[in-house]
Amino acid sequence: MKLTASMMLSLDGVYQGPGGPDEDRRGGFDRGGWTAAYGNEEGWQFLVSWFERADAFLLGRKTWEIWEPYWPQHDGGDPVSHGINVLPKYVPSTTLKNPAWQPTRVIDRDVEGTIRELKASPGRELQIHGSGELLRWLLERDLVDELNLRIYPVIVGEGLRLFPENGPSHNLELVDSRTTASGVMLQTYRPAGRATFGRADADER
Amino acid sequence: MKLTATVQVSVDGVMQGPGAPVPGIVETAGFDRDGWAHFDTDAGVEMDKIYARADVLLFGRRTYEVFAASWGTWPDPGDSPIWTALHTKPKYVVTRTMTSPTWSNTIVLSDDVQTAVRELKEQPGAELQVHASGGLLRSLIDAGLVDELTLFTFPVVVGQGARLFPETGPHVALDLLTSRSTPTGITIQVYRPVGATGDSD
Repeated sequence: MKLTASMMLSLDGVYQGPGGPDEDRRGGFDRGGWTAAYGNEEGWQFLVSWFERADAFLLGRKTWEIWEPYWPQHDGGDPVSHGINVLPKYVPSTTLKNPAWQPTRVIDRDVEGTIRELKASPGRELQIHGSGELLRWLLERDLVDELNLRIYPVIVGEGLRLFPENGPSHNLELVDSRTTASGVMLQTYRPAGRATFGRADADER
Repeated sequence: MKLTATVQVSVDGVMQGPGAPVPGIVETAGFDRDGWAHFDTDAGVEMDKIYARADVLLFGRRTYEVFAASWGTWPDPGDSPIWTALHTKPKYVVTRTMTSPTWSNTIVLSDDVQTAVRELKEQPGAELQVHASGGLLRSLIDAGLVDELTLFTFPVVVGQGARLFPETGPHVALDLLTSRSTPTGITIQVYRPVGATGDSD
């Protein structure tokens, strides 16, 4: 399986609390819900086509805990809500024990080795949704094969950001770029090693 | 004139050091990843078109110094709208430390920048352009003075350096006017700020 990630970001790179004010108030964050004004059918179709490719999910514990009380009550039979409920959910955690929401598989040791084994196993996509801290950790270890960014046309002005102030560089290949009618950009990037710096461009711009 | 701003950013929002290091310009301590904005022909043509629309240029002090040390020292290549704009259009630079800039057509703005910018915007013409100039640009966005923001987003995570948007600031919604991508994966988006909306609560 290839490891593909999806993340909603604001124009200033914030990922915290996209869906609503109470979704994620860590650090006193009170600007949650910044995606609410931009939902539309096109964005939904993009999401459906993306979930249709999933064979398993990889979730951070916090994201799993946000999903766990919600999705079992909201299975509409579509590829998004039904997929989330029935596909295996892998959660790196040392605190989550005996999860009732099945199928959930807790990874409580050798997270990197386990993820490499999952990537080497047959299947289409192991998808990570949200889970900012986990995604950052995976990017640092070059484990992400594809990065789907949904960039909302808003400057949030505070909150947690996906990319660290100091971290490894990444060269990226743009695989796909689309925009929705409400102004959300859907960018698919493929990480391709470290970036190259300092090279003068042909026209010295 | 409308005020349009153009910034080269990385996917992680960094705006520092897009071009190769410029002789005589010292980057801030801890930043050694200059030269991450690799232009292709398509993006270069787009940047040329932007500069060709400029009637007046407005810079922060640091960006001005980088431009003066590079474009300001280069001979006229004869076919560069960027060179022509930078050498023939009035250049305003916001600074309290620089008093007598040597690059021709430079006018120093040292106080009440917002009023000066409002007055410039009321003058006839096509575009008052800001390029890079992060600190200045943010203050102009926050003051509601930016009519269009064009981002050249390069397909790279730089991993260090100053970012366009600070950790904390006003909440601003924007309209996406146009978006396209170039052959090497640079995306060019034009946004129109629709105003500070305040905190969501």
